[in-house]
Amino acid sequence: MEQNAKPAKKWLVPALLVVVILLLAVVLVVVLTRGREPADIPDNGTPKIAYAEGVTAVEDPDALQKAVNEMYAKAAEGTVALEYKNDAFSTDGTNFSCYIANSVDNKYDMYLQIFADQELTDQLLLTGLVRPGSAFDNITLEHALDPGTHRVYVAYTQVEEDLETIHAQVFVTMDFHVTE
Amino acid sequence: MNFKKIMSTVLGSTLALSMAATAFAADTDLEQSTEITGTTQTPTISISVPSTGDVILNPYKMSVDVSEDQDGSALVTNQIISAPAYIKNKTDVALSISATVTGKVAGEAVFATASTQSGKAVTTKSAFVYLEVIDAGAGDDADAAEPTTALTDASWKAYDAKAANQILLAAKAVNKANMLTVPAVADSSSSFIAYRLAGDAASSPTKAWTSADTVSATIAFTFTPTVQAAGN
Repeated sequence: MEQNAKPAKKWLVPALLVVVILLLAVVLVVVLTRGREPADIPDNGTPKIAYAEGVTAVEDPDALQKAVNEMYAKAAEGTVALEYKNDAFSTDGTNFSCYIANSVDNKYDMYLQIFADQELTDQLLLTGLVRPGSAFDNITLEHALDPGTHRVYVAYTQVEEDLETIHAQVFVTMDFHVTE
Repeated sequence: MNFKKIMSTVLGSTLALSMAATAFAADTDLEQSTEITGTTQTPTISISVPSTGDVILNPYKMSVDVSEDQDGSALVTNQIISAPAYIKNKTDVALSISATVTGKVAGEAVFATASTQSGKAVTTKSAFVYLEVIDAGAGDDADAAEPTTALTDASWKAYDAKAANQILLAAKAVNKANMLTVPAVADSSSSFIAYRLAGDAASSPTKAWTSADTVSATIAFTFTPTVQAAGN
């Protein structure tokens, strides 16, 4: 009896090892291939479940409050001081006597742009930089205005120290008068 | 008779001489005429204008605190939220204020011409936005940054198409003249003009609002020196 039992045990151990190795190989294959291909759900009218495209991160629930706080902070920031006479006069439609200043209350240099239309497409003048405390008392437009009174749109643009970054911009109107 | 003739001649000559002298004097006066040169002094407008401004669309009426101290004392659910902006005025004559407002939309937002909150439900992403300009009163002194008396909700009014101081925004330039007249400011003083955007927005459009749907505006003010009517 004892002589028959020994050969049976010798065969069983390698067999178990082979089974274990095979199981490990199957598990490994399943783990490595998982997620590479979507599950093949039969298309029988049931919507396929998939990840949506174009979504972004969840927004901050306090986004509105933050936006409002930033808005109020910006509103409290500095203003652009303007000093000018509302009316400018010309007899030829091109050369105007006027008074447009970069107020001494300002900290930044500024340049002026004057437009003939409210859509700001018809530029009449683009000046160089003016330091605070300096003013234009006459200007020459890029093209002449007809006789009459013209409401023009004046952009005051402040430039930071690097002379490239726009610090602030405001618009007011002026009345340009041309007499013959 | 001869004596009378002589006296008459003498007196006549004297009169003639005196008249001649007078006439001579008159000629001298003409040459000493004084020329008066006329000039007209026009006022310089002295104001400070805010350079930036934001407007926030809050179509779903989320609650937000707009109190300065963020202590929850001023919770609002306004659909159009903008911080009041102040124009500081130091001009020594009264000013008439006009404005040109050019609205701009982005995404699928559109400007509405009537309130979206009355009548039939609005299905487009419509925003009904108006600019309101008010006299905010005097500042403490010339260096003041805000008016002495703080504005409240009661300072602002609901939209009224007949109101002189309100402009409805559109996707084009809209002008309104003489919205407001503010008095002259004394030396070492200041006064303030306040403005803001307000209105409403469609609460349940067919397509939901997104952050890409926005409205904005460019405002160009006109300040015209004027004489304020007596009693104002």
